[in-house]
Amino acid sequence: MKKMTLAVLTGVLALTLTACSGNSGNPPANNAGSSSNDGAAASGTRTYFINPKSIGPAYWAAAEKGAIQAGEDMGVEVIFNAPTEADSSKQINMIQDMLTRKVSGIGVSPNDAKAVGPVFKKAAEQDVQIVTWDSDAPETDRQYYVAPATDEEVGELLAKTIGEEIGGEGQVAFMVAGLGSQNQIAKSDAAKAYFEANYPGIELVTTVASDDDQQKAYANAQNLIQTYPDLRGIIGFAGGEPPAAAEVVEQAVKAGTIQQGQIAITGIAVPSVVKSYIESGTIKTDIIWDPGKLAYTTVYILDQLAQGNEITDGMEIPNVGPVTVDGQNVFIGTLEVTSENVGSFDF
Amino acid sequence: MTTWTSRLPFKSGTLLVQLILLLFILILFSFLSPYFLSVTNFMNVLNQMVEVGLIAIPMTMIIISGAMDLSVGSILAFSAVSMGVAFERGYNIWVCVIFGLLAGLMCGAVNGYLIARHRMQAIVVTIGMLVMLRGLVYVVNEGRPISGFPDSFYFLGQEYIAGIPFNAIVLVMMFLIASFFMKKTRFGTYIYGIGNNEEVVRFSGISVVRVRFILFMLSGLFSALAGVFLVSRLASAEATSGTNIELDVITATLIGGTHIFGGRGSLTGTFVGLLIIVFLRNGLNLLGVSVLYQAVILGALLLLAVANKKISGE
Repeated sequence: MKKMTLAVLTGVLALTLTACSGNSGNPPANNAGSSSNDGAAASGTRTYFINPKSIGPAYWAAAEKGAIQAGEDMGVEVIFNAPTEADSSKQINMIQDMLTRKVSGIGVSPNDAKAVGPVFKKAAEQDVQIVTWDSDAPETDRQYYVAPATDEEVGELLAKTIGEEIGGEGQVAFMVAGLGSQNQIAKSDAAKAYFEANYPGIELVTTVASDDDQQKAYANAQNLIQTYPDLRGIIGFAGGEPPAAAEVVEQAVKAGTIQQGQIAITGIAVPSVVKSYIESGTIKTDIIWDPGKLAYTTVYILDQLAQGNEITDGMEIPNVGPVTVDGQNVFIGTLEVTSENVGSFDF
Repeated sequence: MTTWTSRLPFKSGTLLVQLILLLFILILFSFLSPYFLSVTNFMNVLNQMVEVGLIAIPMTMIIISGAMDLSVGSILAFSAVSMGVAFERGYNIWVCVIFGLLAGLMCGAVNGYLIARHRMQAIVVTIGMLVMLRGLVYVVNEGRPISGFPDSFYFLGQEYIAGIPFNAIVLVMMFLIASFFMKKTRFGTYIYGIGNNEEVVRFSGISVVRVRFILFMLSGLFSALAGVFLVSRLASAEATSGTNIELDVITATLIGGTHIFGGRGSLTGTFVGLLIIVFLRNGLNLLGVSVLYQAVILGALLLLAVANKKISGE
């Protein structure tokens, strides 16, 4: 018991210590202003916390470059950080810590749209600007959502691309990252609806999910061409799916199981990952947006909000271009990657 | 350890290093970040450490007894999602909480039955449960997060009593009670005994099977409790909750001086270990240090804790 008592005593001591410092510096804002230790707040620089779903994947690394660039261009401090795994609870702990740091705004790509509700509410109470990007959290206190396009638009664009490539006839399979992920459901539902309305000759045979696991995506693609020998097209709705499908199809062509060009592939993927498949013609068109520009726009919108400026439709964002503003949504637009322009992307 | 430490109220001197480390972290971050040393921040940290802390209690006991439970994160998610699904079916939220706790207790019982009764390897059994339960979670809720719980339920994870988060108060109470049990009851002595020499304990006529079984049940129950608090704090029950939480729990336990092969360790140490990792993470977050470096620093700390035991001649 002695040690336990001692540990509790230490805790109490630490708390007393903080209580003292808290009293002497009330209100805390004044304290921060007068303290020489506090470089950021004292010099009037605004700080923004840009929070992707996780740290590691190439997609987020490209976004980080854009966010840092925006910070340099606008003369504001940008902190780009997230947990190493896409974990909602760790992400929220991190946002809480940043609110303690009194950042001017947060740009969050929530792992769970509902779970960020309470922490966004707290941020709003502290007058912190809140913008979601890449993934939305509707029904929360977020002010804007920065995205490339609506999920419906992307889904329809993918369906249209594959429909044209295979001449509107035959079996098509969907490959998604997660069956439960809202943006995947919305995109694939839109693509399905587009087929029903415009290409009655196309039959959607199945939807397989990889849970964002590259090996599983690869195995899924192998199973698809085994199970459906007459398959004509594959749509990959997340970054890992199109390259997996393309790799499997190229190997099958080499082994002679299927004809060159029998299966058309399209999807959403970072150009650098699918470059070789686009050059070899296995993938004709790939849809993407620049994650760096997405993050850049997020920082820009946050900074405009912090300065009290309005966000208007068609506003010109430096280095990004004009954006569409629809209600609380900001769309930067998508890009089509083909064999002609694949070399021009740096992400 | 030099002679002067022996005069301090630490018999073995092991905890001294951890306390100095904690104090060092607290002082260091107070200088580095103007936001670190504030009541709000400390309360935030307390609020964030509850789930890992709750699971660390039975984990410490299990490690002292010479075993290991890797399935805690999956049990947490399974209980949280069971609770959420029951709530969606229209049951009263507190009935759902009991349902979630029972789900956790049941998972713990399966672990305990296989490990204690059938003498299967604890690590193997719990890895099996880790994978299977995580799969079951996706089956049960189809990967979709469940939310929309009543406001009265959020009391558990979001309310403050006299400025202190309610869940942190529960955590400290649990630690005090568990620490009392470990030190003052025969059950605690059996746990240390099993960790040191299982055969001797068995030949003394004590049911090792029962002690082990109870320990894994406890682990299931506390994981479920952590799940309930997590759902209340985040207002959402999701399939990925608790992923990799076992790593944090075991890190806290080991930094706190518990021996990985069992026989030695204390809940007090675990509590200090817990404070070390949460304050470290919080401080580094406040400074805007990338998580990639945070992982390196945490790993280095763990090595330091182990090395310290070796050098001090244990």
